[in-house]
Amino acid sequence: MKRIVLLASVICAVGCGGSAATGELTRRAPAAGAAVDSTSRLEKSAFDAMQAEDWSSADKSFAELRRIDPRNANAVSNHGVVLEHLGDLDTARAAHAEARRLEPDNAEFVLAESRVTARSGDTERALALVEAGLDRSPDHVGLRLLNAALLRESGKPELAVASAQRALLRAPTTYRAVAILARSYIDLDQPMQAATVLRAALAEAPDEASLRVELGRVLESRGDTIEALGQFERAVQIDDTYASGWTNIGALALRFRDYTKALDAYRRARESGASTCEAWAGTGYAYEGLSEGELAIENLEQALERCPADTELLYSLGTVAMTLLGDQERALGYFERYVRARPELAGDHPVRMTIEALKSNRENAEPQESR
Amino acid sequence: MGRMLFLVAFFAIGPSAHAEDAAPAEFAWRNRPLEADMDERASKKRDEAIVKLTRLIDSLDDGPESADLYFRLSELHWAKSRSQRLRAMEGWDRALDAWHESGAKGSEPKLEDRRRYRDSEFEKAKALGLYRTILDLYPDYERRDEVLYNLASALYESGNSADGVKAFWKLLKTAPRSRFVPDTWLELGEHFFEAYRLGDARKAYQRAIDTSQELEADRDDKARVYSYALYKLAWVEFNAERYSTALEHLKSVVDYAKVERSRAMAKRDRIQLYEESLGDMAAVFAYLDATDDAFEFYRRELGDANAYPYLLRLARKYHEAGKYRAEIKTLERVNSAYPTAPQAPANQVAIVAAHTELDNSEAVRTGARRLVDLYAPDSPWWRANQDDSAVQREAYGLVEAELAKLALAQHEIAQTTKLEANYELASTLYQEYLSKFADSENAYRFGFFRAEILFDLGRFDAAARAYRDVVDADQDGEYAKSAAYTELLAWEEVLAETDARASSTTATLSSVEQNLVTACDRYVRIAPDDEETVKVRMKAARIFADHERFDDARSRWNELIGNHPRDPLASVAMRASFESFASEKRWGELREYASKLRSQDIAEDKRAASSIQKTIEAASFNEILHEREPKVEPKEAGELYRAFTQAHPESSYAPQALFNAMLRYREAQRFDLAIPMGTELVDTYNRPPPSRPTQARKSAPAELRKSEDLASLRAKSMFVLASMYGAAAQPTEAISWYLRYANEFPRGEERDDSLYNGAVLLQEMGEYERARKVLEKYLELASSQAEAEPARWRLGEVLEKLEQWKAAERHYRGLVLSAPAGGKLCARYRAHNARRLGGASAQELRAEWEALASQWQSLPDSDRSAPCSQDAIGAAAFYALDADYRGVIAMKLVGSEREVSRRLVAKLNRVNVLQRGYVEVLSTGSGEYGVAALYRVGRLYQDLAENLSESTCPGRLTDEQCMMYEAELLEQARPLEAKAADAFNKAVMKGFELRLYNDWLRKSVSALNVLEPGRFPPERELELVSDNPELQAPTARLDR
Repeated sequence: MKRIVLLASVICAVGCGGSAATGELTRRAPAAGAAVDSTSRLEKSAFDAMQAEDWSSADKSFAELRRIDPRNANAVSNHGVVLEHLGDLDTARAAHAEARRLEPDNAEFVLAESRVTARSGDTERALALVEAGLDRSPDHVGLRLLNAALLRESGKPELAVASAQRALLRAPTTYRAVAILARSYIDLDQPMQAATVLRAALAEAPDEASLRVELGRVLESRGDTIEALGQFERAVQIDDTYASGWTNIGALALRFRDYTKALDAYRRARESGASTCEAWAGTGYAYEGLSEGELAIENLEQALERCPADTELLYSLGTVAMTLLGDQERALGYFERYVRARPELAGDHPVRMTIEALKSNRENAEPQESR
Repeated sequence: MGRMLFLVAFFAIGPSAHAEDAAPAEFAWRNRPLEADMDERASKKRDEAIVKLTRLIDSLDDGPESADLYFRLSELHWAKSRSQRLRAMEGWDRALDAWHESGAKGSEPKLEDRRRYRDSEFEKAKALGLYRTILDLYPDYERRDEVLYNLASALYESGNSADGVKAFWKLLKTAPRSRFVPDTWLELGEHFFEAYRLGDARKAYQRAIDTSQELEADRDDKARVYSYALYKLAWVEFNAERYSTALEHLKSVVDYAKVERSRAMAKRDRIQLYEESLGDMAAVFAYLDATDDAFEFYRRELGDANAYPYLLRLARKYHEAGKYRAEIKTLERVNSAYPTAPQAPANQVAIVAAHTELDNSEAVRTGARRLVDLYAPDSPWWRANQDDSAVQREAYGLVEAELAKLALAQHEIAQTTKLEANYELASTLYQEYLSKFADSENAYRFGFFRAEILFDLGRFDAAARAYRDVVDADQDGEYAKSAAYTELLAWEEVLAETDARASSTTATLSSVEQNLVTACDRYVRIAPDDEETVKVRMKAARIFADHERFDDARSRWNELIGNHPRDPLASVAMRASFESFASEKRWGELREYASKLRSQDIAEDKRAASSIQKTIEAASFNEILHEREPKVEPKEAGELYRAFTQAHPESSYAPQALFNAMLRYREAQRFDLAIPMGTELVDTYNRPPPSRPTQARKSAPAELRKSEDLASLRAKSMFVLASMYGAAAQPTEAISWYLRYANEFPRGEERDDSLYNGAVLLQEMGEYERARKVLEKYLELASSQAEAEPARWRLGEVLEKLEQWKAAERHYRGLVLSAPAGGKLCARYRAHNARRLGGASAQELRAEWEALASQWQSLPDSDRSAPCSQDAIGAAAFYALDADYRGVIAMKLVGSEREVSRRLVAKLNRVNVLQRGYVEVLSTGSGEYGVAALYRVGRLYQDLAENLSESTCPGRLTDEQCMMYEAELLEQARPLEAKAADAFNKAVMKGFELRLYNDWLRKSVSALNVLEPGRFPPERELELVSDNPELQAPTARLDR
């Protein structure tokens, strides 16, 4: 091998391109410009796919792009975003880490890595990354916001308040910071503070739907249900695809047994893209209120699928199966799953009693075939 | 007088005199030549002859022929004496010149000390000795009369006139028939004429005439003596003021000369005497004022061409006699008759001079004009004499010189007399001169003189232009500096006189102003070091500045500042420059300009340096404000202002810059940058000045510290800070700044708003007690009670939150009085409600609620439908029934059978009444109280059903009967429950319809669920959601 290389270098010394030396035509390597064109096309196709939310295509394009140009930090980071959308958080996190390694001063890359780290559940690591990023880019609003959100998540609402306030001083129209600030105040049991900052922000940006939703939540926590509903309704007036607004309208309607309105609100929420367990569960409860047992179960199952840890859904499913459908077997199944998920329930807990009763009924009931 | 004229006629005509006077009238009238032989060779020959003759005399024995040899020897010695004397005179002249040139050092040279003079005296003594020897030793010598004549002549000529005259007389006595007698009489005539013994002279000349005719003599000698004696006789008569006789004699001389001239052998002396006589006749004609006769005589006698010089002589004689009018007349007539004569220019010069003598300014002006017009190059005269360049040159020189002389003389007269007319004439003459002799040596000087005259005459425009011409002619010339300076003074006068300033609103200078600034610039260029240049630069700059041509003005101010930095005007110029930039709002350039000055000499002056520094600060600030800020984004503008405050912390503009920085940062949504600016302004510039200069702490500039401006900036800053904190979701800080503002600036423009905003935030924050105090303060101070209306309502709300019901009731009752018509009902409602919530019983309040409902009825429709009115009427209608409702609920179906029946009927009746009442509540349109009313209706029926079903079995009934009794009661209660359920259902439906998710709805739902178990599934409480986008992956691409 070494000898071959040496020969090649000798030949090149005589006349590169080969034709002069051998008399044969040889294929030339693509010119640099052609390589750049190829990269550009690939990059464009990757971003086009991203734009179209065609995450799989985007994944392939970015992977190829990274293979050709592994030092293209922009491509690496965007690939991470695509991977996030595909749910591959570990690979996404690695991609963002690579992008940050390539460009340590790029706050966007730091933000992306921090975010995906937090989504992966490593809040502590995410906070450390964010704070390191803020040391380099103290004015970066995105980092500051994530910092505030993570501090709150970490149970440090005072620090979250300070961080959110700093973000607001840096960029007063960053209404996400107001939302985080308000939530932090709620955490600190300062609902009035929360309401005040939200009202102040709404005075500046009355059409900021997210702020209205936040204010609605605060008002509801203070017992001002009608005002809270008003804020949610205003939010969906501003943006009729604002899923959180619809979801919360549904929740309030549900509390007051206004099932028709609740069902309508949840429908709008889901049409607006909400696929949260709240939206599915709310829909299920609305159907329950309207005595639509199967539909109720169907939607509650959807909710359970998204929020398997929400064991109360199992109890609700059991109740619906029993009361609306009279399907004791299904009810028993849900209740048994419920108690398995809640082993701490006392032995005389009503659910356990119900299970026993249902089991007893089953035992006492004559099998159809035998009869 | 007459003698003087004679002398002038013969000897005193100077080099500029007439051509015929160029040679002295030395015609040979003497019998014996007087000229000395000055030739060296001749002198040598003479000496040799003297030696030879002396040897010869010594070698011969004395005899008759010895006398002849002595005579010849004496003549040689006499000639030698004359020659030596002349040479001695020449040497003496040279010695005198040298002595003078050497500064008159040493003793003055004397003629007597010269060797040749002594030789001359020696030779003269020899000659005289020899003459006397002949006369003594040879009494019979045949040429004794000649020896005697020569001796007399020698004695007379050598200054011994007395012995000379005696010798002449001796000759007449001893040789009365000698051929030397006529000459002797002529010599004596001359002697008497010289002695002004006119009578003796007349006799002697007459004897000469007579004897020349009587005695036999050579004809030429006769004619010579006759002509001359006659001629001199004319002069004797002339001097005796017998002019006509003199004229006759002269005519006789002329006539005689003509006769003599006709002879072929006419001698030169006769011709000369002829010409002299003709010339001298002019003097006589002049004395006789016989101009016409003279013209007639000369032209007849000599012809037109030859008469010309004699006519000029006549004019000159008039001039010499002071007869200027006659002179003018003569010369004008001559020039008219001989327009192209070479002498014509000189004649015109003489005419002008004569007019000058007559002090006839207009004539002088006209004459000078004619002189220029008629004889300058390209004139007809000039062309007529084109073949004679010498004449042309002479004429040119003459006209130039005469005009120059004339102008100067006139100028001198003007300066002496100070008369305007004289100045005018001098000016005209200078102008005439300059029009034709601009290239002459005098032109430059005369141009200046003329300008001076024009200035003195107050003809400033012309003067200014004349001065300018002088400067342009020679900028290094003697008069350049003075002319340049006076020119600008003249333009200033023109400007002042004519008010020729262009409007200051136009950039174009008037012609006069332009001329003035040009003159100023010229002066500065010519006399850069003159002390006046400072003022001159300033003057020109000022004119440009008046027309807002500041670039032009500044270039001059800058020169002034650069060249005369320590002159007081330099500071003025500097400030003017500053102001000009400022007025043009060219702040950046002003800053650069002032910054450059900082390194120049002018900055060494403390006051100037201070002014420069302040200007740099002002310019820098305004540059940002007017030039840079409009071109940049707000954040960058904020940074510019911030940089300014860092560069100039002590500047009077620093607070304003901080304020502007705050506003721009705020505009850029960078509150994190804006707030420190405002805080620094509020806190730093409120400090007293540092007690020691070394303290590195900023403070307000002295001129601003107590000023309204600074206070205003601080106040505004506080308000802006508060609003920024409010917008940045930091209400606590916002409240703090609002209240600080109100505290520090109790008369501030934003005081009301600050108090109000602070109160609102306090209220929202739940700090009701503080909110109450601030609102009360606001209401106490509010400048506009109308604008304070919302605060009053807000105070009511705060009092409600504080559950200070009595205070709230009082407050609302106060509002009933102050609120506008639409608000009064609302205020009453709130007052009743406060009273209700304060514990007043339903019964106590019933009348008031009914009154409120009645008042609502009287409201106009527009006020009825207002939200508060709706709430008020709903509440009024609802709470007016409250006492009855509580009474009905309190009625229990207990007692005897009869009593139960009675109570049941009564209760039913009251329920029916109340139901109608609650239906009326529904009709008020108030959703909240409508749902409540429906609930109450349901509750009434539910209560009735419960009472009925719970009523005790009468004691008289058996157990079985009791069971039947109770079953019947339950049966009768069922429709009541149905009615209750219906009402609750309606309440729920209304609540759903109106989305009145309140306690009435919740109660209705609960009640309904009791009456219709399973109507509603268990309450499902789902968490309210919110977004958490921070943790969501972006859908858009990330870009670097």
